[in-house]
Amino acid sequence: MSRSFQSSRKKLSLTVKVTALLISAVVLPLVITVLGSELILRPTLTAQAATQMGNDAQAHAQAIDALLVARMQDVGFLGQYFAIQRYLAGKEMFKQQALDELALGYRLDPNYSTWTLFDTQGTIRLSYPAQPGLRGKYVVSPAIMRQLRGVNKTRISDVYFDYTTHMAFVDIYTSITDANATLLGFGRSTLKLNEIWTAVNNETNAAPGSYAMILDGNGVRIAYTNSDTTQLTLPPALFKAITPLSPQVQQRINDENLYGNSRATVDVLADQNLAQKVQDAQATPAFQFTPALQSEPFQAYGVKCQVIPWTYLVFRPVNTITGAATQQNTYLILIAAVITLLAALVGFFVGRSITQPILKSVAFLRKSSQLLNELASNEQVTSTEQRWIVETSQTGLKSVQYYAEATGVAAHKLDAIGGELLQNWERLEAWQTKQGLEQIVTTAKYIGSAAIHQERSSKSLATAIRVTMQVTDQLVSGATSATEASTQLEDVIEQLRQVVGE
Amino acid sequence: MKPFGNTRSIVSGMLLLATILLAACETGMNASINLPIADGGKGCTKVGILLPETTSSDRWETKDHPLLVQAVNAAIPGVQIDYTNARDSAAIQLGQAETDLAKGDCILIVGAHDSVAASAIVAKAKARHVPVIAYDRLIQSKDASYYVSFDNERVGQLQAQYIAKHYTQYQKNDAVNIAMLSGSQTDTNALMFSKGAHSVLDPLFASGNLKNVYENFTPDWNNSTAQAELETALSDQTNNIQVVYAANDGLANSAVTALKAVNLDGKVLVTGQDATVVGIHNILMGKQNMTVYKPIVQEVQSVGGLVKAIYAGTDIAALTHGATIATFDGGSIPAILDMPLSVERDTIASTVIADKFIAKSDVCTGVPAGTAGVC
Repeated sequence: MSRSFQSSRKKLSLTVKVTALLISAVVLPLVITVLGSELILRPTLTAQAATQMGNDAQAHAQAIDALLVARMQDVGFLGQYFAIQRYLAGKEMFKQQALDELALGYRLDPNYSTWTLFDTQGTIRLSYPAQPGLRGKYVVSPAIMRQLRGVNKTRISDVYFDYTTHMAFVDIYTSITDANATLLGFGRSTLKLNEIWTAVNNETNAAPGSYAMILDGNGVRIAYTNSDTTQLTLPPALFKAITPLSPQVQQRINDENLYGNSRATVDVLADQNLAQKVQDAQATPAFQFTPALQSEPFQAYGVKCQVIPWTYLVFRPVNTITGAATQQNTYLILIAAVITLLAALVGFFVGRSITQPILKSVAFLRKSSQLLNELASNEQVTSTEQRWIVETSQTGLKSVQYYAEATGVAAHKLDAIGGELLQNWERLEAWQTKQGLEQIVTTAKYIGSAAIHQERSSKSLATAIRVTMQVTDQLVSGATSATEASTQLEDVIEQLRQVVGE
Repeated sequence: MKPFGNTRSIVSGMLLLATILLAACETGMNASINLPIADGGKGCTKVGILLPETTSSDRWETKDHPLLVQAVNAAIPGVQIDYTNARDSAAIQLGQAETDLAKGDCILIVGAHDSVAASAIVAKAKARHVPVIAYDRLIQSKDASYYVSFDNERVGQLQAQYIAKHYTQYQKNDAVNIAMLSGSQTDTNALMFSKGAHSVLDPLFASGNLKNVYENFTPDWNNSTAQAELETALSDQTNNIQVVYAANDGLANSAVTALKAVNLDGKVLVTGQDATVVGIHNILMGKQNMTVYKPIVQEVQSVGGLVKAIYAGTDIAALTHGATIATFDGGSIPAILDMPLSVERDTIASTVIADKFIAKSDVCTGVPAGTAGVC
């Protein structure tokens, strides 16, 4: 395993390794940045957006509270005006002044549509600037009248819709009592929700794709960002409930003609996730989900109003929140790609500049190695020849010694045969003399043969001497090659020194 | 030698370093700021004073500011005071309150620019158990701790009573026409003034002796707007207006300017409030008939007494005498309501001058010597 790994590493050239190191050195910080973006920037952006949206929703909810409290204050104070109280107490002479005071209240906000006084039975006594219409089958909802029985009681109705003005409105009621806390009647201002709808519609300015809605206490969307800037059409989700309404609530909606449904049942555009968040008192105000009518995840933030059971919700597409991080990552990846290319090129050239002298040195070494191999081979041949020379010389020498000894024996034998013949010349018979002569001839022949063999041995020795001369030449040649190889190795060392900088 | 032998170690080290740095960043970002929690003001030595404006009336900077600082210093030994003025902006005032709370102020004295919007200040203060004294102007929040002001309905009544007493002197035909400049509807005090005035004037309207030809609330007490409003009313009535109910001296001065343009200055009954230099000067010049003097010293002393009681943790019932004021979210706020005084030409010397509320030198410029025994 490790061997195969090592062998695979060995296959990587130095250029590739240098290039890889450069790329790593350049790309690694970018990779860390991208990781940081994913681990920190994206959650931070989401948190920042949630904070921003929270501030936005909080500001709007506070503005709604402030608006409604101010309008409650208007009707509450006007209900304490002297002429109004006297008129409701039955003093007809105060009618005009009471009407003037209703007009004064009406002028407090351009979004007031009517100011009305009712007696304790809910019958209209006075109205400015015109007689108000019915609220479903009632002039005043009996439930609201029950809530208003007491001193300084103020209530805000659920939301109605006026198809003539194409605008939602609420009724703000106050109880009107005299100094003795005797109920004299009720005052009502009808407030169009222009400002609130405008604020909700303007939510698109917060960020691309963002929108807002207001849910009332019944879970009905009473304001919803309208993409139709002409406002001629209403948003599809407007006045639709997020969960099915109870039969009692539906009945009250029908009876009071709430939400402009012409006393029909309120449609449900279900949004269970939203309903769960809104109904859960412990739920965090910031959350992510895919709202009804949307096809992508949204960051949402909901704030409950204080003076009315409304929840102001702002929504922003998650991808617009994290867009900066995504864009940054895209840029980083592009930068990484470009830098990787540059690093690869730089690495290639740097690697080349490092490896080229090394490769040249390797070539020299290879050449030296060949020379040394050649030298070794020659040396082997030389040594074989030398062995042969030695063996040949030894053989030749032995032959010379042998034939010298044989010649000496033969000469001694000739001396002995000649001396015996001389001493016994008279007494020897002819056959004996002949035998002696024949032995002399044989010995002479033997000496002749020994001379021939000796000559052959001499020739062998001569050859050996010639070969020895050749071997000597080869040794000289080998020494020259070794010197050349040594010189080349010194060059290689010098080049490697230059590479490593020593 | 292995050229890449330590690569993995280096990469691991860098990642570890990056992780530590990122974790440090994360910790830094999530670190919450611990804001101080007050103990309902008891033992408090840091007090925030927030006043509403500088334009419609000079009282806030020339009177309330120095007197409040003096009163709070007297109430709490060694107290640190943070003073700010909202310069006609509810948003600025909220920001100033948040800053004060962040600095650890443990009692807030708020002269609200907007009675409803200031409820946000109360909510933030309540979260830190910081009591809020609604100074001069009611804050529409049941969580406001105390309310110190003048009896504002009484202010309107004093203005209307002057009209009721003198309107006949200006009668030309059957009825006397009145125009009413009632102040800012976002200021609860203005509604109280109006309610008090109507309690006196409505019977006269009903009887036909006095005819209400124009009545409006002037946003932000804006003097220029008030002048334009009266100019419109004069035009609509062909200058047939004998009485101008102006809720304060700033509006009254605007009314005088509008009347002067049609040569009616000094010929129309004009009310006012606050006993400002301009208002008193106009009275001395015969162009304004009355003002309502709310001895700010008295109001500030009430605040001082209240702050002292909060600091000491003593019962404040002796200061409020059980008085409360209702807010529109069902609250009932303990209140100290000081009594205002009506100031006319012949009572200037005995009231605002005697109290050194205004210096003679400030109001006598251009006024004939001997006028009203003042100049």
